[in-house]
Amino acid sequence: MVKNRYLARTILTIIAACFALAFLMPTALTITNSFMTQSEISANYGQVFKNASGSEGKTYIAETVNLKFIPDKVTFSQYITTLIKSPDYLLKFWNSVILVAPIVLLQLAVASLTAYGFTRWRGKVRSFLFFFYVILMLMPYQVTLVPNYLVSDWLGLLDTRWAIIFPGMFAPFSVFLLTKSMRRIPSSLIEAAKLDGSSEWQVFTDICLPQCRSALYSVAILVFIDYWNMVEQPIILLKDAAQQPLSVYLSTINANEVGLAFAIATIYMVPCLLLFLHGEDYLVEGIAHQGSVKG
Amino acid sequence: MDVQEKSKKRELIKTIAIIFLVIMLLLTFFSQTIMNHSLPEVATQVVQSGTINAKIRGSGTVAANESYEVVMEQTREVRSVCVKAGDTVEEGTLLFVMGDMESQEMKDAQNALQEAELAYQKQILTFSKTYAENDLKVKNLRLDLEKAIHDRDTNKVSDTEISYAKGNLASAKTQQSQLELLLGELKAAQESSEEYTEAKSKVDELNNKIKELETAADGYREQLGELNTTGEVNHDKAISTAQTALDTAQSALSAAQAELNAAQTTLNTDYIAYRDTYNSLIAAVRGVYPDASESDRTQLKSYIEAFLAQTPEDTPGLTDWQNAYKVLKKDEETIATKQAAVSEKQADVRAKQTALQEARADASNADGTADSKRQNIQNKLDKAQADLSAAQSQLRDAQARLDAASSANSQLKEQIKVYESSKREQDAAVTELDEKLKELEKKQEVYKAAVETVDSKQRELEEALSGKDISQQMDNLDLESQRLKIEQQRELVAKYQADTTETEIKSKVAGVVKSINVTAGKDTKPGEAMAVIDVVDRGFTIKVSVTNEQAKQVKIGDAADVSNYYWGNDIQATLEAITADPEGGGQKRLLVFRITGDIEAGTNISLSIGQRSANYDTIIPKSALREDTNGNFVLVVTSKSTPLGNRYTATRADVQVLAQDDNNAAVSGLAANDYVITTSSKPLDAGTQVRMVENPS
Repeated sequence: MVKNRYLARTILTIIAACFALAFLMPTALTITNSFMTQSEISANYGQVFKNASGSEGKTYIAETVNLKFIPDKVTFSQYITTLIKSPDYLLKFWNSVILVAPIVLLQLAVASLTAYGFTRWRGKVRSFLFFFYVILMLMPYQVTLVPNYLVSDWLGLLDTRWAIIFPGMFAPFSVFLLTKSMRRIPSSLIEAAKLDGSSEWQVFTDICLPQCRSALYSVAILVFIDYWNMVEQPIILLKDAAQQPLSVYLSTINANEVGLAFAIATIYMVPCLLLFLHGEDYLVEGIAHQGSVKG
Repeated sequence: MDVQEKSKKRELIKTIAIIFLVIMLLLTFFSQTIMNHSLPEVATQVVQSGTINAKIRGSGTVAANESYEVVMEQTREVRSVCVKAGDTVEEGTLLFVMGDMESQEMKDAQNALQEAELAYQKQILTFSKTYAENDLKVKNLRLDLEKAIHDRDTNKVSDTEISYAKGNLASAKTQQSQLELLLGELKAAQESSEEYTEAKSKVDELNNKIKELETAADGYREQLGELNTTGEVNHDKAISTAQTALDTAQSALSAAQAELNAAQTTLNTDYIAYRDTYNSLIAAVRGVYPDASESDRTQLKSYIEAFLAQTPEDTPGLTDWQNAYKVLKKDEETIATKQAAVSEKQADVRAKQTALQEARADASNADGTADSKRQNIQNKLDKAQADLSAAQSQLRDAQARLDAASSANSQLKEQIKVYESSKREQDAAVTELDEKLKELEKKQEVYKAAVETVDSKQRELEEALSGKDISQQMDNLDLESQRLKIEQQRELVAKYQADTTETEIKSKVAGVVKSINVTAGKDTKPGEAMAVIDVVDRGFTIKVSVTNEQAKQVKIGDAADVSNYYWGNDIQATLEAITADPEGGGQKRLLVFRITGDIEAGTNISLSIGQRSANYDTIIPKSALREDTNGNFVLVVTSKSTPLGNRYTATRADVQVLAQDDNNAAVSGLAANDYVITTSSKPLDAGTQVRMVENPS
């Protein structure tokens, strides 16, 4: 019995390791290839772009492609081009920052207040509204894209960053997550505070928010990653290429700039990675709590 | 602990994030500066309107209006080429030296002539037999003709054969004269072998002396014997012996005297013969050495020899002088030798006379004592024997010298013999060749006479046969045509012959050699130009290809400037004609300029011709005009506003050049306010981002 258990564990570990490797490979490939020369990259992936019908990059992983992890000659020329020679990529990086940072902050503010409302306000309307929020959350973004465009146009926000930031502020998923998190706060705690003379604002800032710190971190990280990697919204809502974020540039890569794309992707990864590492524990904790609540 | 570590980790990550963002900010701040530094800096100019006084430019190669081709109609060997391409030649300048061999064309022409003649004769002999057979005159004429033809054919001797025989004879004669010269030299060498003669005469002389001494010694011995037996000496014998010796010596003296006289006579004869030459020689020598005089012969001789040695070989009369001097010198030397011999013989005679007197004195003094007599005789005998042995040793030496000299002499003799025999052979050969030549010449005379006879007989026969009936007339026409053919062929042969004898090809025009198409040692090809000479007097032209539009802007008679020919500033180019350019496909025209002045064919020159001025809306500097395989274009600066400032990009604009002068070009395809790039700090491509120059002046 014990032997069998060990065998099963070993097999599962191997399978898990294989999956881990498979998921890690693109990231590792991106980082290592960013140190290759353009000619080496062209030699390795030229076939992809030759066969590709467009520039979507769908055929990145193809049998004919020579996937190489070790550069023939390590070079920083791609980074030098990206960071020093041309301000275009830096501009796009800051575009991304300018778009994502307000969205994350505003969404946290709006969502936490909404969630507090859903937690503290009792009645039939609340249930209906919460149900409506969940329905909205289940809808894919593409469904709401056209109404978003029309509303932006109507408000005169088209071709401005607000066309992306405004819709980003009001996200049902973060409301749902924070509501679930706040409902876990024992009502006795809030009542004790009330008895001690705390106002509703004090209860919200001094009791609810500290209690939901991990959930807030989780929401922030998820929202950041979501909007940091957005492609459709800027393409649709921002016509001016100078305002578009770096993610759009990465999606429209062409054959001559594959090397640059690797370098840009590596740099582009850094903020996400740092944010994740900083809030890693909260993220795990927050999502785990949701699970336990759900469970 | 765990909480502390986590907090530390978060702090670290936060720090890293801050550093990352700060770096990105800094890079962004400096990015525009860095990028601008790397961009090519360009200067621009706005498109303007104005007037252009355009010039049509073009270049071409100067060609002579007329070229003369040196053509050979025969295959001939080129011996040497005397000019090279680019040389200036005058009329009569030697161009080529050809071999004088008969060409294949000439041989062919001669064969063709022969065949034509044969055919003609055959026809004349055979045609219209039916009516001619009964005609006795015709028959006789035919017979005569046949005979003449036979004579002609049997005696046919061509000029070539004669000239060949003449050549053989001349070369044989040359050999003969060379042999004679050689033989003469050898004989002279033999004669001048004085050593041999001297040695021989010495040997003879010594032999005689030995004989005499032996006779004398025998006489003395006899006298001694007689004295021992009888106590008396027979002086008669000694006297008679001495007398005989004296007689012999005297006869030898008279013989030497005779030889001397003969030599003297020879000298006189030679002197008379060479007197004039000798006098002129002496006069010439005095011209060089004024102190030369006849009285001092040795000095005169040395002067003459020095004079002859220093006189150049091509001086007229030098050979005569040399011969005269040689002969007279030799005569004088012979006389000197003979004189020496005579004086020797005279001394000998005197010695013999003394000996006779002594013998007679001996006889008269016979009353001396027997002892003293014996002693006297013995002394004489001893002396005679000593003289004998001395003479014998001298004879041995002389004999050795004679042997050495004679061996050298015998080689010479052998050589002379060999040369004499070959000279005899050569003489025979010359005689034979001479006879052969005479025979050939005689034969040729016969041949020529026969040819004439054939001609005359033919004419007579033609006359006799002519005018009978239609078939006869037709035959006559045939004959006539054949005769014409023969005449033509003869002319051709004569022409070839005249060409063949001409070995020097000279230029018939004055000009510049454009090309030489043959090399020395190779054969010419009939009809092909051996050399092409540009005739200078006829002037030069140059053709420049322009567009139809450009051609409309000029008129015939316009003067063009020569722009790249610096070393001759007196070149004038005048537009002479405008013709269609066969290579332009209807889009181009050729401007034909007449060039005058100091220029050579083959020179590449650039011309510019003024075009009438015109107004244009879009004029750009020529420095902005670029060209590639797709045609002319300019790079226009387009600007774009970005959050980081204005970005300037070089954009390609295809243009068509309407007209241009030295600085500006009028183009179509640009807007009036476009900025065109004139200069750039780096090579530019369309689409390149550029930086405007900081302080445009």
